Amino acid sequence: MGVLGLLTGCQKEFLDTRIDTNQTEETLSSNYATLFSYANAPYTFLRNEFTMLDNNLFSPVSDETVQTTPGNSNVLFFNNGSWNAISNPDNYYAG
Amino acid sequence: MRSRIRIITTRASYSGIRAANFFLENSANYRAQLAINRDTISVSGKTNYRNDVLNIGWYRAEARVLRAWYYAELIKRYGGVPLVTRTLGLQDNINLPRASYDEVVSFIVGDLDRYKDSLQVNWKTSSFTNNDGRVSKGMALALKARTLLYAASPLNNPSGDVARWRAAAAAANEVLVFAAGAGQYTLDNNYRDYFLRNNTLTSGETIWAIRYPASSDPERRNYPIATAGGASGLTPTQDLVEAYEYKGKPDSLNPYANRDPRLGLSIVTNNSSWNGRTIDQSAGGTDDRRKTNASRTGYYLKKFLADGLNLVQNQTVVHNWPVFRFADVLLMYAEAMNEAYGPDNANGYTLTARQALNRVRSRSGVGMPDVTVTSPADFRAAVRRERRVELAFENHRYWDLLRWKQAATVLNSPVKGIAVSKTGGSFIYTPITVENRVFDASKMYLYPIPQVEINKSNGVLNQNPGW
Repeated sequence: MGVLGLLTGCQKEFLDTRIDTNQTEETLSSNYATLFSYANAPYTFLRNEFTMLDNNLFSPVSDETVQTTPGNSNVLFFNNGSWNAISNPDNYYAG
Repeated sequence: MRSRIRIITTRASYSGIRAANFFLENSANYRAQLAINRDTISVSGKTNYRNDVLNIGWYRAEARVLRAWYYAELIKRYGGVPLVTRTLGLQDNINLPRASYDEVVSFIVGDLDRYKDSLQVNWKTSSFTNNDGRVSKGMALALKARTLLYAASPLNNPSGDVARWRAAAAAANEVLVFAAGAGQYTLDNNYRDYFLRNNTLTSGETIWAIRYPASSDPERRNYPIATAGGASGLTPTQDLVEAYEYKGKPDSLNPYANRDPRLGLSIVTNNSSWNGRTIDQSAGGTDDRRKTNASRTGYYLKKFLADGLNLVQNQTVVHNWPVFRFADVLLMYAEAMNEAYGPDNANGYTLTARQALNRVRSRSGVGMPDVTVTSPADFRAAVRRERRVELAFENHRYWDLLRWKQAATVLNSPVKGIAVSKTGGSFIYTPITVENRVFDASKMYLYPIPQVEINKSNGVLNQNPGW
């Protein structure tokens, strides 16, 4: 999987996506570097569109392309209409 | 039998929304926070401090825009969803009902309007060019245009309210005006190279691209199986190939001659050069389609893929993803203007629908003739075909078919490929059916809300119809 390759102006741990969401306001304000990691955090949940489905583009869900080896691929759920509320390979609703 | 679906717990939309809310709630005093325990006196210390203040200020607006992005991605899939605009803790009621689709659209557009001028205007021309890839004003304007285009489309506008198309056209026009000013957006003059390496980031065509480190993964997955290290992966259909128009006289011996140049720049066709050899899918050829895991469609993917990467030696190359690019905006504008005012009425804006469409077609190196059809219905078909071709493989097609309400027919039809044989030195091309497809129009125009969320909600979350 690709790692989000954005850079910050100050190169402050942008690629470090470990986020301690239980920090208190005190620990947060004691470390301005932490502020940048929180600032970058909303970016870290962007999906990599090169690997949307079966580690590849979302394209074979449509009439654009065909997956060469459909046997074990998630796109089959879409192609044969068998996806549902329990098994949706594009389920990125909540964590 | 098939294994279970891989459960993906990262990169969920609501996790992104929470991260945005969390940062916004914990950075209100960022100027003071940034000043704690640091040098703000010396010249360099002062400059660093000032740059940090600027950046966190932008970041706060970016968090709003990214939150809007996550909501736009959610409603594209699920329709209306719960609107969470602050972090929820243990003491909060987390069983929130779904807001309507239109309510979420209003929220997205409202935040984009409110915060677009608090963003960096253009990273490329700023003194922070390294930050390119972060959200900018142009991205916010483009997100608004796309959101309103989706909201105006038949799926989300069943009564065909023309006011929605006017709003979408006005929003796309905002991007065009910005493009001519501080945005400096243009059409790249190389349709092939634009999608390669750092060009996708640095080109004047890009409004927002997501940056990734160098990798050979896209090539590994999609190079022909006959290229060492390739796996064939996603192979383009004959249906898509047929959408590329002829530019000159059809050649009865070579169906790929005299076509829209974007065909050869996006798709590997038989008897063309790729990875240092000529693709031959006929019996006994290097890419004989009967070989295990050779393309079932008679085509291979080319867009986004560098030519001739040495996978055996693990050569890698940068791939950046173009989320918003200028050609997409021109096509959004053409579509919305046509629905709102017809093909040739500019309504006092920068361009008519036709001028925007033909601008995309006349890109240097593409040079397709102008679209001349006169009725709005024919023009609509021309715009839809243009999106299919220009934006092929950019993850738009499925959502376009849904919003146009064409999925019931298109995604319910078998997809075709081409069989290649050879007689007397000439290739013979025969269309074949590759696989059947199923789309249940009674429910699949929207994703189902995940069952686990329905179960947790104590009856508060309503499932979409039919699921």
